[in-house]
Amino acid sequence: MKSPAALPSPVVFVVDDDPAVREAIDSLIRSVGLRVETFSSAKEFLKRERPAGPACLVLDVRLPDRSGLQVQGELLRKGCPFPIIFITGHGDIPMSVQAMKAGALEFLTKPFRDQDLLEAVQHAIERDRINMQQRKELTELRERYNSLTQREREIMHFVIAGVMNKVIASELGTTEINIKVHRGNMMKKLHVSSIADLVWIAQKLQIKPVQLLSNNAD
Amino acid sequence: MNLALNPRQPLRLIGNYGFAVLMVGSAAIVLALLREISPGLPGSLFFCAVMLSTWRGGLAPGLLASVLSSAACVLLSLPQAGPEGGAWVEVPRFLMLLCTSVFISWLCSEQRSARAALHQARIELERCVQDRTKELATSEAKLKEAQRLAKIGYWERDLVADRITWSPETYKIFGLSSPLGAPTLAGLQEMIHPEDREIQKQALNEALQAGRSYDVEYRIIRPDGDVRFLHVWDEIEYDRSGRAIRMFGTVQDISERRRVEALLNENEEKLRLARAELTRVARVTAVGELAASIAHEINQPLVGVVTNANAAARWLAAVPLNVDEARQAIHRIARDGNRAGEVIKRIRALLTKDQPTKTQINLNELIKETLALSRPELTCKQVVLQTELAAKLPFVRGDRVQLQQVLINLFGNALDALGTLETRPRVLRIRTRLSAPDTVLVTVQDSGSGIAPDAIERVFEPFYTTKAHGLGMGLAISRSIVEAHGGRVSAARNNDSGVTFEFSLPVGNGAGA
Repeated sequence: MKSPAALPSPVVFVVDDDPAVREAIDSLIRSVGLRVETFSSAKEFLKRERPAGPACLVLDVRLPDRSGLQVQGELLRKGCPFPIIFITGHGDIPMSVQAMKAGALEFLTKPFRDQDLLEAVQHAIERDRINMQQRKELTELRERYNSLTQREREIMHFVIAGVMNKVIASELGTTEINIKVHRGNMMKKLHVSSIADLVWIAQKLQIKPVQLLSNNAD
Repeated sequence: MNLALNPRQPLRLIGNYGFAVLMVGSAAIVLALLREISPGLPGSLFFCAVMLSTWRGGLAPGLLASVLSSAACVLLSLPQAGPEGGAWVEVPRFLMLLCTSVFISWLCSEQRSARAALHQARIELERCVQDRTKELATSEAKLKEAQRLAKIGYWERDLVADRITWSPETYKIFGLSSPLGAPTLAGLQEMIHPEDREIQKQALNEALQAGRSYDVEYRIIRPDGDVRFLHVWDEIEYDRSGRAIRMFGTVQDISERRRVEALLNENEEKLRLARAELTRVARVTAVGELAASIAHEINQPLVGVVTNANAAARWLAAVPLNVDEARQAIHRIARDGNRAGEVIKRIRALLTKDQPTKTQINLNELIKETLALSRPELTCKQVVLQTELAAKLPFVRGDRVQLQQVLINLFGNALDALGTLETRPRVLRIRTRLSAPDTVLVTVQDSGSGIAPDAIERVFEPFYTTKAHGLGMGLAISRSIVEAHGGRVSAARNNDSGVTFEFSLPVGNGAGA
């Protein structure tokens, strides 16, 4: 198993009210070198704070205190969703469809093949790793965007709309030179060197381009 | 003589005595006058006075009259007799008269009493008669009312004169009116429903000739077209030579009862069908739920076993080798495996929770009863049923409910196999016989589509089924039951088509299975 350079080691959470199942899955996952933490109830699990590294959850659909789908919802609400692998002792087709629609990664019925579970876990860890990476990137971008001045932001909105400096200058009531300077600063702060990249960042941050009333294309 | 005191009595007494005096006085006067005309007239007139006095007032006034009469008579005769001897000569005469008068008075009073008594008796009698008549009227009214309520009529038939008499209710039952009079026997038979005429004639003949009671039910058609059910019950009266001379009895309109009976039968039939269906559904549901529960209960330890085994394999293949983890995993395998075994034990206990009650069972009866439950399905699927149930099949000893379960399962399977058959007649053949002196054999054979040769050996396995929605437990349970009873089951493919299931049971002797 490769240990990621930047992030701490991944952990697999297992929530099932049956101790035999918990113990067996714990042993299995540890045998492939992954960290495991087991919980006997959803309440117990939800108390745990979000781990630093990538993680995934192996969850029994029917728990005594709440259903697996409810746990899924709770995680989303808390803002730290990670991939969920459902396991169930009842061959619930409708429930499996529901679970998958809600974004579960996998749905396995007991008794499952060990290979199926391990593959799903690997897949989940990888997915979480990617998610974490993406989140980190987004955070960075947001920080950079927040570091822009008001003027710089305004200009950015024009630039991504494809408006020429001259027009921007007249719109904002300043000189073209000013615009060029601000534009340069803005691009530097955002760590981009081309308009295409700028647009890409803007999309990521969900920034809308300005809509000019009088459009050049008449 | 009534001497009871009442307010009017003194007045009446005085009246009576006064009347006596008056009579005597009158007699005396009349005699005296008559003696003027014809002397020597006897004093018999006084007797009249005495009689009249007694008549009117009773013995006491009569006695008074006697005394007075005698005295008066003597007195009247005195002048003629002459003074010789003096008054004492007249005493014998007086006494004689007195005695006679008293005697007459007594006789009269007796007669008076008798008459009074007679009068009283007649009054009493009349009152009695009135009471009786009233009672009779009430009684008749009640009888009529009873007849009306129960719709029972009374009738009589004079066999010699061929005349029939009816009570009012009978007329009503027959829908005729009484002024027309009762019909003759022929007329009556005309009213009987054509299909029942033979029955009535036969019953009548039997009653008259064989001396049996006349008790028959038949339908009549009233003049207005209404059909009624009647129950007729007569007694026959014979004369000294043994000839039947009179029939009398009751006729009751039982149409209502018949209607209710028919309804009850219909409902009973429906109830029986519903109950059978309910049993079947309950069993199916219970089995379904049981199966789901079993599946879940066993799944958990199973996951443990499989996953731990795989984990152990990985630990043993790991670098570095981790024997300790592997050992722990294997230990858990054993533990979970045992847990699964416990689940099975619990389920077995659940299935046999109802202690089998051993009784003597007539298999033919049980088969017939179970077939009756399946009758709707048999008719619906147009299955030809052939039964060859041995005549003197010995009893088997066992649990009736469980054995019936086996039959239901075998019949059910056969019907399922026959249900979809198109090309051949659907035949279900059931046979019981003694295959050995101490063994009873039951055969259930169908002409259905049959079972593949390799599958026939597996049919009794649990969870083996050829049906899309089958659980596969029916035959397994049946085998379990039969073997618990000391018997054996077998299944074989027929030469032509279909399958034959057989099960044997030991003959039950009284000393216990």
